Amino acid sequence: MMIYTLVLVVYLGILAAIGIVMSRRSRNAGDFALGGRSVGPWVTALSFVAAYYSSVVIIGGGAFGWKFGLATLWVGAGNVLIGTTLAWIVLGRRIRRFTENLDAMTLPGFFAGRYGSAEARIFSAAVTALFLIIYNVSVLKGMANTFEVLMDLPYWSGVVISGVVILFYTAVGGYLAVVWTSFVQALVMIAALILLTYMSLQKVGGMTALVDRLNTIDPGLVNTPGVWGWAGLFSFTMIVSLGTWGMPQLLVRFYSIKNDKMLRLGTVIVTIGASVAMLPYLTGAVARVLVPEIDSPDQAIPALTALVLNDWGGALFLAGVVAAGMSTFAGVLIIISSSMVRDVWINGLGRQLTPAAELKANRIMSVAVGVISLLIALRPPALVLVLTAFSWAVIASTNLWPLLFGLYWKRTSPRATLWSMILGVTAALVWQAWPRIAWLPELPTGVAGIHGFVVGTTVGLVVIVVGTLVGRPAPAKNITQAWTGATGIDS
Amino acid sequence: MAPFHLPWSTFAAFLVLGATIALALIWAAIDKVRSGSDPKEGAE
Repeated sequence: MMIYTLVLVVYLGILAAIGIVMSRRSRNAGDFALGGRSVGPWVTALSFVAAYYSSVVIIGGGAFGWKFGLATLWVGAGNVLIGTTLAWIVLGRRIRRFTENLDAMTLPGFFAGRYGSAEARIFSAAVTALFLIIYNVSVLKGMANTFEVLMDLPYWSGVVISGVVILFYTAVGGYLAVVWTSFVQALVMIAALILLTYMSLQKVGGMTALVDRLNTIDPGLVNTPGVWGWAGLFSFTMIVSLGTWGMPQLLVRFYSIKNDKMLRLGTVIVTIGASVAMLPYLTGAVARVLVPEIDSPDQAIPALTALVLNDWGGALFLAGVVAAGMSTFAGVLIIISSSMVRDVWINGLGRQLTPAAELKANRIMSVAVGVISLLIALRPPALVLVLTAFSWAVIASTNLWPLLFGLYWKRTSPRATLWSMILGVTAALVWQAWPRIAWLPELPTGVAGIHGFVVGTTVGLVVIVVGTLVGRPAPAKNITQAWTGATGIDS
Repeated sequence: MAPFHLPWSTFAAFLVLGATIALALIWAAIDKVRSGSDPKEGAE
């Protein structure tokens, strides 16, 4: 216990120190929300990895590996190919240039500038803020559960310890503190995952022995799609991979990178860093062999850690899980606060703020949103727990197509964009609620395994394409402003 | 049978990972060559 406490105190102290140092470089709202668009490729790339893989992915990914076996490696491969490398190649450069041309600091701000649509700005800001708070609750819960299992601390103290430290460095240091702490957190998380994987594979006798032993338990734990089935495997892979294309806390990394040129090195670094996505699923499968008797699959990774790592290794792993959660929580906090202040308060309600007042408002908003998430996470209501399971689906259904089409199809209609958001979200929510509504007919097996994300994004895609073909494009001045200076990538 | 006694359908996930790293490297190289003709590259 002493070792765990020591490692955590040192680690949390380093994060708080980064927040204090970065507070000197956070002089206005642009610095607070985007770090003055001055972040280099290493920090951008590794902070993307840290924000992408939360504690939910590490603990939850391990749970999936334990439950469904090695077919879940495809989820990790999808995270790297679709969720990371293709996102950087397809979205990175255009987002960097367009947001600068439009002077947009947030994703709703991009929609307003690109489409000239105040409604799209408000709808996107409202849905994103609400469901990111819910997502944050699940992240805090994941961290607190890890504290509970590995340090024997009560649940509430895990929530408070991690929540307070994050709130401090985010409110004080803004975006620069978030990306620099995320950079450190990514290194800790990657080291922890590699250590756990190496030690657990050694314990089980190597990769071939793992496959043979899983085969004896159930061949479905080795084959693809195996015991999960295609509907579940495909849906889940898409939501946690393609879903990133609509997640503002990840896309903001493209706004803030110093220049286009740095996206090139960033893409290589982020691809290699993101490759650790395979490891939670692999170690989850190892846990199925080494710790088969557990109460719930969520205990697979903590139980495996306790079995194969000594105290120092366990402390490093705990720091890694906490790091993953903190970086995600902090990234989300910045997005919600800047979006609420700029998109809702200033542009939506038409209130004027001086640069100093906007910076102060951002700080206050980040603390307020953080405290709300923290209070909900202390005793999450049942509805919130249900909603956390598809907060990604709802946010991605709102933002994915309006962003992608806004970057690549000049003609995209603002009205079609708004309806794509509204109907995409509605379809995702209705699909997820379907099995819980008694009077609706039961969905056929196979179809029922499809996640609301697939349904929501399919509906959103159809609406935006058909609506654009029959509707009117955005005002010419908005299109010209977005594309101005986009030489070499103009479509 | 693929390496480690895995079926190819599962082992292919590792191949996709390797191909993704290769894709990132090739894209970066092509982009560097192509950017030579773009005067706005890195101008911000």
